[in-house]
Amino acid sequence: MAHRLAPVSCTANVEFVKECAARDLRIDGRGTDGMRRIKLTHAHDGSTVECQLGQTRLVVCLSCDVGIPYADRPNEGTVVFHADFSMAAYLQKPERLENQVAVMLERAFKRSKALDIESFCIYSGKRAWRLQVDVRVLHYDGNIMDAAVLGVSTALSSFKRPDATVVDGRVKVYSALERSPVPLTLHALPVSCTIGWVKLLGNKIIPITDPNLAEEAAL
Amino acid sequence: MFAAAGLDFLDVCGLRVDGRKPNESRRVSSKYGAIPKSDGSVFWEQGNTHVIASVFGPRPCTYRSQEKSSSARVQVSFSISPFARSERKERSRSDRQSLELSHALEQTLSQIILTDAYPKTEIAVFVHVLQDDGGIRSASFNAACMALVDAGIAMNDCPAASSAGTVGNNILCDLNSVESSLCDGEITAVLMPRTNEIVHLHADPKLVTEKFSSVLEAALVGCKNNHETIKADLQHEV
Repeated sequence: MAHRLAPVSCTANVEFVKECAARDLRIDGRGTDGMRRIKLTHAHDGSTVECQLGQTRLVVCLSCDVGIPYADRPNEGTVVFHADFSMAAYLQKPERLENQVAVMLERAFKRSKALDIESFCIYSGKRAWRLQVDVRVLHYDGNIMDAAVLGVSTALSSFKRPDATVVDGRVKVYSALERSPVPLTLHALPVSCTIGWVKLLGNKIIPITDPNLAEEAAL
Repeated sequence: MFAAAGLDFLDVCGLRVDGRKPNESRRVSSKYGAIPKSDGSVFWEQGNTHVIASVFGPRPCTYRSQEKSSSARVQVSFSISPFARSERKERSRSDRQSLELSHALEQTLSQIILTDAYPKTEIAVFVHVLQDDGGIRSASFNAACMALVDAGIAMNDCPAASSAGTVGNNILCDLNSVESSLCDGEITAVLMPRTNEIVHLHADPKLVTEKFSSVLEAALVGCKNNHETIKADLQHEV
């Protein structure tokens, strides 16, 4: 972004963040436990949500398709999480963050059973819904985890999948005009909170909530 | 399988499926020099979980472009054998879970190793799980650290890792695979014994928030148990 003239990891910036933290201040005027402004925008069909956490922006796209369930889990559908940082290529090692975000989302929604994937089953052992959750980062300004979890929670709560039944041994998927789409079964909505530890001289440690990019470099 | 059979995780004497007490870690042993061609290696056994770790370095970077002028570059590669668990499953090195654990190991080891002492070099750590009976995360951390000790690489401290989790109403230390698959939540902690700092903390879903501190306490007790064994082992080796 044009407003940042020096790299965030330069000593002057890091020292400034640490001095502010020592005085219980943040660069943007928040307290040490303040979160940035959250803005969630839905697309009209409910499959896309744009999440803004301060300057961190990402888009969550959901799409579902009929697939074949795994052989050892015939009554469950599948949900695949994918993160894409290609628009934030100014970061070092974006593929590492991509993997981290995808694994975190899988743990928060699938492994914790917050999202009920047994409700994805259409024909046991043969056909089940496959949900693809794509998180595309538009701008990275720190704390992508909270933004991703927020965006995905919102998208999953508002998403509606097409209705499908089994007729004469064959799966029939109804369009939105024939039968109204069905919302997903969510048992819980995970909430994420990221706290960074700023280490000062004299082994003093200050926790700061929701660090932005400049603060992440000082952690 | 065990839940269906009605097998309780603590029998009348208060012992677990493998005869341990709730706050007892599994027997830990290490054999150094398992891979003679490497600079340092260890065959780490944590109960029935067997991990082999090897360290190559400090050596010149494979790619000059990745060289850092003032510190070493730590690179970790984690893999699991297909025959590690009861069901054979081919797992590639770039599998999501393997990548995540490699990155976690890399991040933690970069903090522990005194990288400023080895500028313009690369320290490559290879961690391979031969047998998985639960606790591969803590076993991998322990094995990687011990391999670094065997290689004689300067570190801040010798960390110890352990896990703990809740199964029903009981808090158990160092879960094996049976307990791990049926637990409500598991925490893996890596502790620096000298400064009592936690360098790595990982939680698996779903852990009740009220029980978090007690499970963390149990994991740290496990870390201290492992540290005592490691210390005794090292003194014996030297």
